[in-house]
Amino acid sequence: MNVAKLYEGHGEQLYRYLVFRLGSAEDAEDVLQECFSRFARYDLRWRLVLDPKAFVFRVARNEANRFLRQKRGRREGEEMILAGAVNGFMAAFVAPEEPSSALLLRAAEGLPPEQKEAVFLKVCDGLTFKEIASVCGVSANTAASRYRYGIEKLREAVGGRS
Amino acid sequence: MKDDRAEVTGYGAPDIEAEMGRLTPVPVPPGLQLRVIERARESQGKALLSPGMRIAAVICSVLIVALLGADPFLSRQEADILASIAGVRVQPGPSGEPAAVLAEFLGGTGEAAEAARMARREIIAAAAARREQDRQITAAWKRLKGGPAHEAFEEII
Repeated sequence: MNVAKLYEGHGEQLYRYLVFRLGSAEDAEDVLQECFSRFARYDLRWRLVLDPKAFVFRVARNEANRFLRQKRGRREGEEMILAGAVNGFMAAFVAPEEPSSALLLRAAEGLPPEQKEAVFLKVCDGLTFKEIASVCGVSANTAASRYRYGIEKLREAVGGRS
Repeated sequence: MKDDRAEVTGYGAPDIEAEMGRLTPVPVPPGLQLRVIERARESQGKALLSPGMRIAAVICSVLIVALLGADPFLSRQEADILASIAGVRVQPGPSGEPAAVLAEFLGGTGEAAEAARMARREIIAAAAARREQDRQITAAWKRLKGGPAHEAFEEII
């Protein structure tokens, strides 16, 4: 596995996804390094991977969850993962100056965690619903409906002004 | 009509996506790529097993599991072969089969066979008792001070 090539393809997207998942740039960097260390050791497994993009995001997600459990303790980490307490659009984007963008970002931040993740993966990382489903461990239909509900809420939030 | 394909593959939401596209993502820290790649290469170098060895380990594990799985079938075949060598009839039955084969191999089943086995045991016990008696006599001879081997015949008398 050519790690440099893999980083070229997914490195920065994964970094932003990890910032979104963990809410901290330092933690995201640590977890990203761990992810790529894993990818480098996965010589045999890479031959069985059908969708590399979904696979790298899935590994990053698992690694982020593992990091949270280690850092916060098993129980608290698990609660944080379930509640999506650290999932944050605010951490992943620079605070916009434009009021409409700021409103959108605040609305995105207020979404339920699973909808927030579906919207982030679709809009910011360009994953398909099938890929989002593989990453989150749900069906493609569930991923699609999470995204749809999330978008509807965002549209409602910003639609008032348009 | 509901468009299922659109629901699963997703055409997105152009208005919101365009709005979100205007947001600026956090910048990647300088030198991140180098640090990540360096650590990944280090980790690759420290891997316990090389890729070739990993493949060999997987193949060996599969072979071991296959052998363990095949063992009951192989031993059943072996019992059949033993039975056919001994010229005895194998008793059908899932659990008692090896015991039945062994019993037949050692002299059959039934009252006559049991009596023969008892007789053999008595003979073996008697032979063991004789051997023990001989051993005790020999030990007693050895304990005698100045045994006959070391004394002249005249002195004994």
